[in-house]
Amino acid sequence: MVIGLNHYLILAAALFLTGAAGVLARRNTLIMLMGVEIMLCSVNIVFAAYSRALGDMSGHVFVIMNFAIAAAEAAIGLAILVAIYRIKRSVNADELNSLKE
Amino acid sequence: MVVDRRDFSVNFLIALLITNKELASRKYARLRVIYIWFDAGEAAFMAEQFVPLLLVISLALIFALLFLGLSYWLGPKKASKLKKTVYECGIPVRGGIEIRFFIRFFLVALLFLLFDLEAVFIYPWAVMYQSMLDGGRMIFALSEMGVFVGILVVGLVYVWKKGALEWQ
Amino acid sequence: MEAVLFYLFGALLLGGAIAAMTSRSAVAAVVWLIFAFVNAAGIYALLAAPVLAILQILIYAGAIMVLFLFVVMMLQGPTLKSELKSIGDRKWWLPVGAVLVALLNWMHGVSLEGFTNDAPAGFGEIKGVAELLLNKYMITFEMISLVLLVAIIGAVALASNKKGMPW
Repeated sequence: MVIGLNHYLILAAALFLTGAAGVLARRNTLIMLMGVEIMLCSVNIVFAAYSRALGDMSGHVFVIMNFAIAAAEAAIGLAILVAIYRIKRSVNADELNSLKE
Repeated sequence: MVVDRRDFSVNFLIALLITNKELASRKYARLRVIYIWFDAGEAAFMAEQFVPLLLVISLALIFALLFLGLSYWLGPKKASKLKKTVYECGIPVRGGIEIRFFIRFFLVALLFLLFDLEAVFIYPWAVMYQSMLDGGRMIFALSEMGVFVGILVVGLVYVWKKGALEWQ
Repeated sequence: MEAVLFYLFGALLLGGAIAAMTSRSAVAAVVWLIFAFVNAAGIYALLAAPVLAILQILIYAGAIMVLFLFVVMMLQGPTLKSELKSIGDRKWWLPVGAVLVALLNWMHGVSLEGFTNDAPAGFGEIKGVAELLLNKYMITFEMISLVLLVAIIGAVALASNKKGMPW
């Protein structure tokens, strides 16, 4: 059995859905951030797969850029989370509703 | 080249046992077929240097699982309350695992992550530097890296001025 | 062989991600995610991208997830007690599950072709990636630096507080 572009795209799609489901369903903000990381990872796989299919390495450059974006996102996201925790004593997304009122 | 693929595990074990050099000799001509199959002779799907890495990882996994399984299978299992407690250097356990750290550590970890990433991006530049010198583009190479590091030095100065690096 | 490895790594990657998203404790989620990302490195290796495989382990599994672990350890209560019952109540799982099933169905019907071209020599190695990154995508390279600068400033502004910390 030959593995082709579609296999990788389907894997990436399933991974993206997993991450999206995690972000939507979980209330623990930490795990929601992890879901975002999974979604970024699935995008990276799509980049690498198309790069391989087209024989063009430009996709690798964008994956590397995505690594930097993911690291920056994780750093800022976690810093915000810690700042919120310091005030609210909670990482539950349902309890962080001050803006609603 | 037709290779019987039914006995995957046997082929896998044989491929684990022979090295590249032995394969080159005529004595192992028959095994070479199997190795080529293992090496994905059907398509150049993977950089060749990954095959030994894969072998090492497989060996590590096999041995770890084998011995864990053996000790689980052969060893007597007598659980007592004391045995089930958390191991903490042999002294009695004190408190839960949910200890809180001082926030300074967090800031240092954050900054480490970001500057660590910066170091990762210097690596491709270092690889390219010699060929850029040969092409007579030294100023381009240096200014490119100069801008990259310069922007991050601004960040370092900011961090320094904010006093985030001081340990009160 | 490629198919075996793809399904192995793919299943472990997806399984790790699902386990991370459904685990009760945040510590377990982080460890599952590290496992998943190591398998993603395997996927990159299959895609003839060794640089990405190494960077995936170095950056994702090595740095980002360790930071996550650090925060999980720092904040009190990795498990949210109220969350456990609320997961079951959410109706979000239904559309997501439906899409997933539809996707698998489509995968069953669609004809899957392999990569027609072999990867050219030296594809995905550090030399070629660096060449592109430093010449054609020079602006991207400098932008990465800018992104990191913003992240550094943001992190320091958010994480350092002068007004007496409760810890």
